[in-house]
Amino acid sequence: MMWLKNLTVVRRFVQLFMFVFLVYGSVVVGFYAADKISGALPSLSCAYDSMNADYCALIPLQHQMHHRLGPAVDSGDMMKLFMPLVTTLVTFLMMFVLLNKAFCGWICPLGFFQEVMQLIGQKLGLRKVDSLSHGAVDKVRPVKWLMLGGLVFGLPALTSLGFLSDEWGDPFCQICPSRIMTTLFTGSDEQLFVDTSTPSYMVLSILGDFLFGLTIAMAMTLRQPFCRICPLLAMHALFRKIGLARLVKKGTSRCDKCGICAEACPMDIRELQTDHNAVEKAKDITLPDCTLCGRCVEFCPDKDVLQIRYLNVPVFSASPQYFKRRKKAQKEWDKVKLIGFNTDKTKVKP
Amino acid sequence: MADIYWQPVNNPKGSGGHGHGRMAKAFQLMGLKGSTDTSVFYIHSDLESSDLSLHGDAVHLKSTGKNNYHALVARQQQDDIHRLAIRYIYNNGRPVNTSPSELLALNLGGLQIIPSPLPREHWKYKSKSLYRFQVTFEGKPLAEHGLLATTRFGSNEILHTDQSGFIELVIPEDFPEIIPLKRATPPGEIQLFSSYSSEGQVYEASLTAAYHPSDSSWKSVSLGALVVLIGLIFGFYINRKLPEHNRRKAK
Repeated sequence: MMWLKNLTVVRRFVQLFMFVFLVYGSVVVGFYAADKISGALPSLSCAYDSMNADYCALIPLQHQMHHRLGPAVDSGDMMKLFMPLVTTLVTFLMMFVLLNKAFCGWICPLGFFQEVMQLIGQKLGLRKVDSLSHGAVDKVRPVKWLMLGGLVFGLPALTSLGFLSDEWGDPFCQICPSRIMTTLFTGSDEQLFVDTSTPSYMVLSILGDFLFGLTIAMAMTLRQPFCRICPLLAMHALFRKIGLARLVKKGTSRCDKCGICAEACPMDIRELQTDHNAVEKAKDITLPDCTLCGRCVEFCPDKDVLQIRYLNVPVFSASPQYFKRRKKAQKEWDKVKLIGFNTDKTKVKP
Repeated sequence: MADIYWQPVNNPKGSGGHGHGRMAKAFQLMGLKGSTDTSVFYIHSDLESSDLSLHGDAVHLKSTGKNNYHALVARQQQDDIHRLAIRYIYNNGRPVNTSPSELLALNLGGLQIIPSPLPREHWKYKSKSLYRFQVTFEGKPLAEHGLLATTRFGSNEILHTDQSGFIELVIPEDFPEIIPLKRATPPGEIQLFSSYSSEGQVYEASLTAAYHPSDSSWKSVSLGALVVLIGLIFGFYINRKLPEHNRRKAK
């Protein structure tokens, strides 16, 4: 049972289980919307999937902005908007408090799909880009906020107020790769389409299909390309201080020169290396882009510098022994190649 | 067919019982021969039931304030003939703790045609798609039993249940005109009828529902696949251009 001692392997089993449950779980929980375990899951479990067990929080949020804001403004009764919105957010928070951003790294079907694509890319010997430059990361980071503000709240609100046509009522769902991915996994191609009925629907459907193709291809080379711009990552970031699971760091002076944790991070969080070094007390470093996957803790060579804590109790801590074992296991795993497609010999830039 | 069945009143553009329905809806009980011995009731999504009265042959349904599927039921008995007409209607409102599967599991006695399942919230019956229905008598499935499926536009088909009482029906695309836009084409009506004799009594049942044109008139899967392919190719191109970066600081 050596695999039980490898956090990434344990996480992949959890992800696989959750993928099967969230994509096909209607056989367990039931078929109708009323049967779902929640209408506001803090991860991309798509309501367009006819066999799902749960709904992503982003679909009710868009619908509430689209269908409730206009009537609430017209009638002057803002409770018409706030009550459903608060209900969705409270449901989201109840689950989010339990697992915090681990919903991204351990539960989200699209996150798991991208990790699988990355494994496939690696095993096919495709080019692997472990990290983006600081400049590129800085450019990408605000996109998730634009996605949340614009696609989940802004455009549905403008639609509800009559500034935009009805097609813009749920724009994030129209372009979300999870909608196409999860429905394809249930054997249905009905979400893979170009809608020619109106120019707006055509633009949105083309964007959605293009983004799906782009996500698959990029995930084979770059880790978690869609996660970096996902509006749920931004929503999690807003509430991350109330989650019970945390990533904490009590850095040493060695951290500044090491940086293996930042290299291991699939989301290119360089602050893992640079923040909270030479401090007296462990500090919360669950940063906005963190998915609590735990890879930084796995690859930290110094005892207890990085920890995942639940209710402030350490549940997984960095240790030199684990680091050595994990590094060796990773080397062995990386050696396994099915095909060597990559002929690109680009030098690594320091 | 002498069965009674429900259909929407003068509502060519209406939702026919699906979608964002908070407003009052009116339905007409067709095939009615005298309203004596006819009882009409409305089973709410939380399984509460309220009696309704027919105005002529129509009922006007007010919003119950409860979310999810409700069942509009008419029952008529004339001599040795027992008739049952059901239509499932979606209402928006406050959430209830009961699932539509519990509503469908209610044994109303006699012969019943039960959707298996009903379309989910925001979904609807569509032409060219396959749906399952179960025919039961006194709550038990009727095997190898005949059922007539007709539409408002004149299509009809006779189907037979399997050993578990199920039939599979592909709703025909028989709209006289399809406007290539979601919700733009007035819905059709699918009508299912069945009858069964037992111990000298005749039982007739009907189930009706609105159906909408298949999206395939304005949604192209092959074009969608082509765009995904373009996205893939573009992604692989970007992959080759992505500069690598070493996250670790130079020592």
